[in-house]
Amino acid sequence: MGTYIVRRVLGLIPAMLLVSVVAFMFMHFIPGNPAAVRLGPSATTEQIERLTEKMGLNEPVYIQFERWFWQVLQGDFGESLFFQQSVLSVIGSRAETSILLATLGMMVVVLVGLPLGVISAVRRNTWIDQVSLTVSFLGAGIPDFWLGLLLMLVFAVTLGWFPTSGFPSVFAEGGIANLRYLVLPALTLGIPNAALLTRLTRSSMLEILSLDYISTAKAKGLPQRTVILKHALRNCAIPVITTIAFTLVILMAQAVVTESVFALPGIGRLVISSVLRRDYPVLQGVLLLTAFLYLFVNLLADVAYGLLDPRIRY
Amino acid sequence: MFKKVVLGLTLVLLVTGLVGLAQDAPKYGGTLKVAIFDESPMLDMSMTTADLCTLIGHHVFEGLFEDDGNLEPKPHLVDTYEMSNDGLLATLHLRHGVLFHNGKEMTSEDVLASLNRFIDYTPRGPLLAPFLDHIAAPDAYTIELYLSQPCGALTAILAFTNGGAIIVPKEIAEAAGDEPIAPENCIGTGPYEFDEWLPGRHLRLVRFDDYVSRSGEAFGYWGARTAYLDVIEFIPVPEVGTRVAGLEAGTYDYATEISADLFDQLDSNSGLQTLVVNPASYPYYIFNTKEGIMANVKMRQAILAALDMEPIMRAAFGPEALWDISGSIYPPSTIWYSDAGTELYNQANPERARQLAAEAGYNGEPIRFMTTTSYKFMYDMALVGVQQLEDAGFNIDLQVYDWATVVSRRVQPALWDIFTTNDATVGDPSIVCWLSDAYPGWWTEPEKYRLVEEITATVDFETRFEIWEEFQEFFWDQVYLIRLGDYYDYYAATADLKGVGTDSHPVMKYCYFWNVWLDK
Repeated sequence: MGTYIVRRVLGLIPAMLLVSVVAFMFMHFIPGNPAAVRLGPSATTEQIERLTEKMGLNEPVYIQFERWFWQVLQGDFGESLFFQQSVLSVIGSRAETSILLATLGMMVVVLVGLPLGVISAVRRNTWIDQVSLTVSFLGAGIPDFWLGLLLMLVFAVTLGWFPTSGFPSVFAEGGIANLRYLVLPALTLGIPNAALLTRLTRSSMLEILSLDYISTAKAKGLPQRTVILKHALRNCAIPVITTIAFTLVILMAQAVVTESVFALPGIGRLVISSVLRRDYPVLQGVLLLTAFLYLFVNLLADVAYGLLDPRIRY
Repeated sequence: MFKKVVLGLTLVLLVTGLVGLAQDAPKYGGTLKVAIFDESPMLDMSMTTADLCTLIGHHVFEGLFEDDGNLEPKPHLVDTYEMSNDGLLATLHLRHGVLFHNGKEMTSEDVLASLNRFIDYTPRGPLLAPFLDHIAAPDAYTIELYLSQPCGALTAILAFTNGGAIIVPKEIAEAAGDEPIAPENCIGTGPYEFDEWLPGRHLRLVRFDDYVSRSGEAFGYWGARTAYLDVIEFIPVPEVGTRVAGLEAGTYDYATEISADLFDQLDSNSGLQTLVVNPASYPYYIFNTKEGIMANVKMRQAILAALDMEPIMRAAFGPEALWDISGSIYPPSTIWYSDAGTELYNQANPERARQLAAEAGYNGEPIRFMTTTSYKFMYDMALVGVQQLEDAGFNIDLQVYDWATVVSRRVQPALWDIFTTNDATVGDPSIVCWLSDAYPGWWTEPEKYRLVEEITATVDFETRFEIWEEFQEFFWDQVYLIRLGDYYDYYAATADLKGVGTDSHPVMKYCYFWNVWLDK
């Protein structure tokens, strides 16, 4: 197991290298100039050229890449062209929102998706199953943009239970109660993914429940509860864990839309606005960190397989 | 008995009157939450012409002159000024006792350093630079501007809020140089000072308690300013639906950049008020006169002949309260309004268009028409216009990009023939941005230079107006760009916000939150 993890971690290096090259090249192939964005629409061409030069953007792309790459190796992701702050502090200031939102979103996914899936499988072809299937089809089909605005109109504008948008830090005034700002966004993010998890859990469970050893367990007179939770659920854990791991990454990626709709200061929205501002260093930083996170979560999932299923040995 | 009744009635009347008065009387306190559509690139409003920066920055910084509600420049940090007879020396007498946010009194050395920085490094500096020989500060409260040639637009340039010539302490101006002043060093003389900027969350300004106001009246950006609100928070909310929902739910008190199609919904909501900006701004199609098919004036005239403005303006701006058909470069509420040359505007004559195109030797070559979906109205006004042009026999290659891409492509003359954009009405014709040579479109007709130079160098208004009318005729004849009409932008605010949209506080392009208060 130990050597496996070391090998996998070493394997991250070429992957990250590839990601960094691709991320850099992509950014620089989009037309647009961050100097023009910063100076505003009425700046003269000479002024834009002067600032472009000062930002070091008129050099050949490979030289810019080389310089950026060595900086990154030393832990320096550069400075945001728009905010004139270090990229790490720009990303860092958004991390709280993204982490909390992904965590809450994940809670919605697991707490809603998993039980619904299990119940549907166990009560197969009953009305509960039908209702849960219909709801999950609807949930998976609704565009998150629309779902977000709908939740906002009902629960924030009409009923006034939650704030419409924004998120003051839990470390600021208001403390932990500020989490109420994230309830609607977490539902927006969680519901479509919970629906997917419901369907996946249901089909994996159905497959397992038809196997012989389940019949044996039932025949032994074990209580239904033990059969389902101990014998069946644990054996369908592998696909479910994979889905949950990838959902975590998807939650971060989908947060782009949710964060925009709810005006949350998260990393997803930072990506969108950095693209529009052509803030290359921030984008490269975010892409690199996201790729790292993706590979890391993947690794965690693989390690978890080994722990859950004694038959898997690395 | 009768006496008692009279006394009672008088008392009741007095009390209700007082209550009424109290309701209308300005109130101190409260936090105004303003939903804006994006982050400002900086707080130093002299270093960028981005509108968002001006909107926030002009609460913190002030200019020597400010535009009043009719966009007429008036002395603001300057008390009085005079111009020499030859028009080559402007002497500005500064107001005494004006304090910066750091408690220091503003003197001529601060003004000198700020103006020098404005001219050397800022995007608007080149407007003033060609006229200026040097600046002197003979004493603590006097500034002398020595000009190399008379400049009719001097006060208009100094009053121009967007990318404005702001006054900051000498040490800050000198330390910043060509870099934007960092937010924590953004020290001005305005009624609000910088407090906190959390990107993605808010930019917060708080009342500057020692603000020294101009005495007397107020009109538009100019005049006496009182900061009734304790705090103003500018909150970036990218989705228009969220800005509006937040306004309806009371999360925000004020929202900007709301699409025209939501106007009727907001206008009919009794808890809200819609605030229509006047003077209007104007959307336009601009031509590449340097390279390609549109360098031919006959082709530009052909395009102009084909267009029917009403459907274009309706598609782009919706409710009729928000737009007008007008060929005057300046809208009706300004002193520069004129109908000279406007018979060529809004011809809606495809036959004439075909004829002019034939005269130009047009053979169905593709015309590259750039627009953007970043601003919905630009996309809409392009779609309808392009349809009309195609009906008149033009072969249009419609290219749709995000705005940053349009900005980077439009500086390359080989890439386009027409693009869509818009502009706000500015105080003086000589500072209209598309008149600059550098502006994409590259209008270099000798007659343009003659008229622009004449109007800029002339000081007397009557004469300047005559030259302007001559210019406008030339403008519609040469069709460097096609002004589509007047567009009245609007803001929406909670009905609790008082003091806005009054005679002394008209709704202007950059909303301003002094002299307004919350009555909650």
